[in-house]
Amino acid sequence: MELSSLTIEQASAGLRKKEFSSVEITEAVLKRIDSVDTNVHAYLSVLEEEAHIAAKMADEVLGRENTAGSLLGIPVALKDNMTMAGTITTSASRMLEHYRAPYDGTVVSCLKKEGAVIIGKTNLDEFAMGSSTENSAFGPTSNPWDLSCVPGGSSGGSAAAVSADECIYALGSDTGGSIRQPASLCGVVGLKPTYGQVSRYGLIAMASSLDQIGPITKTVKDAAIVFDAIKGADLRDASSARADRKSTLGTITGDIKGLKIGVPREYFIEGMDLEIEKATREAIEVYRSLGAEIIDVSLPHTEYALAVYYIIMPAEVSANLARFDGVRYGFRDEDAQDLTTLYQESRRKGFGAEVRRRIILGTYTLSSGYADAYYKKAQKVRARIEKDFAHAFTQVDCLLTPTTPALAFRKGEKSADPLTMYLEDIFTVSANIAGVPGISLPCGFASREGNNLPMGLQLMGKHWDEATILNAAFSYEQATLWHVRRPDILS
Amino acid sequence: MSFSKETVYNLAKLARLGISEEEATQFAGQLGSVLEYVEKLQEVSVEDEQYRYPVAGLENIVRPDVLDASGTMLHDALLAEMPAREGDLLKVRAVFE
Repeated sequence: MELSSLTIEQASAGLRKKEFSSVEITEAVLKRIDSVDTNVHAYLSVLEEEAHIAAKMADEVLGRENTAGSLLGIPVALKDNMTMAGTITTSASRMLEHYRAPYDGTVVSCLKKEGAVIIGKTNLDEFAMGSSTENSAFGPTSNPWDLSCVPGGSSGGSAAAVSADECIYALGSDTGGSIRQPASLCGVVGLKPTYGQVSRYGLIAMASSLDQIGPITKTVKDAAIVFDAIKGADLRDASSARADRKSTLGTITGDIKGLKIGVPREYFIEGMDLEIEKATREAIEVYRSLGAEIIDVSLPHTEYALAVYYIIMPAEVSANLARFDGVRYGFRDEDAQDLTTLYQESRRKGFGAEVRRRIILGTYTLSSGYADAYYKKAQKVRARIEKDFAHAFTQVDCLLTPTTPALAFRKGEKSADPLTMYLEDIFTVSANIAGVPGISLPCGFASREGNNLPMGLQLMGKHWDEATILNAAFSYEQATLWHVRRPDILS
Repeated sequence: MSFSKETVYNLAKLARLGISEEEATQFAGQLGSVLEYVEKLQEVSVEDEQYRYPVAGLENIVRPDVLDASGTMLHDALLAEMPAREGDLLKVRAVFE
């Protein structure tokens, strides 16, 4: 077995038993990147030198003591919208092509404290806006299961890197499904924690009432390990004020006898992929056989979730991206003679089409005379959606749905029509709107033109209760073992 | 919901966003269909609903200001990101003509 294909648990155990060193595992991952990333293009930058230094330090610590945390010496990839001091952080935008982050984001500080080896920065849709990673200013990422398909997005680089064994795990960010949807399309595990569990300090903001950072991993327990390491209250992100540092990993037993799982009927819609529907129904039967009680529930405002999202998100985008004006940092069009032209041309040349579309949409829905009809209305429907979840959680412990309505699609297939692309997020946005945690995990494969494409199952839980969905996910994972399959297309 | 090219131009101007004629036409069509889609919210009656910031029960979190004495390294890193400078000063276009 190649060292690059290990999980966090396996790598951590091996390091402790001195079966291999952190330098060896780091070199194995770098070699893997070298051999497959020309095809996958998961990375925007590889931090070879920094990774070697961190690996050597980890080996020194491992030689001295046995009490270190489970991320020590293990290679991790960061979505390139997270700042790491001294490294280029582009958010896949021309606007930040040469931007060298002056500080570590809180998640990076957490990883460094654990002795993690940060191996590189992964590709994404520009400023995390998209569901296919095709909106990157630096070229698309390919799905390791079928290189002609997209990996999903916006954390497509992170999900593809984990799937193709180009790292042991990765971090992504999720505003409307950007961790879970690519995890589903790439056959890996992706956790979007409760809004407020993980500090966003150092995450380049997209839509601040929705953004959340989380892990993309090969197994459910790995997701719990990473989640435990990055969560917690942080003075630098007021939304994280209530988060705690209690171990989640310790609560995962795989025993789900008596667990009440709700299946919201609104998540089985006309036009969804039949194999995904079948796989989801089969997953329900697996849960029944594991001792869970399956309960039919309703989230009546589900059909409005995406519309709410496409009002709130662009509104917040238009405000957050106002800071990129060509004045203090980032791209400046030096040909512009006056200040207004400098703003306009720096933003025209620095931003791609999708980013500008969303800024215009957000400017419209926030503009005088329209804000009540759009933004405030959307906030009120948002409150309804949150109440739907609160009501469902009086009956059940967690909810089970498919992660996506369709399999990985071909590059270029949906790029001409933004609305078709937006529908990719139809099952994932509700969790962001309500602020609840959601996890996607592999639940089978569908055959498409000779290739196997992975499908994902989504579990959503109560606010602050990642433990329940992680435990339920672990139970299913151990019963089905879909997660051990890796794409062989590359080897 | 139709969206005219002129509306797109006007919004782009408000957002200090340069846009070509061709793009304005394209965006008008694309944004029109998105706005048509979000119109479905008008079906929901929310008159009795409170407008609030509704996520995870978080509200008005404050802390005292603290002086960040990170020193010259951060200072230098920030200066290095300026697109144009003179010494430690950021060079910008004239604000008043």
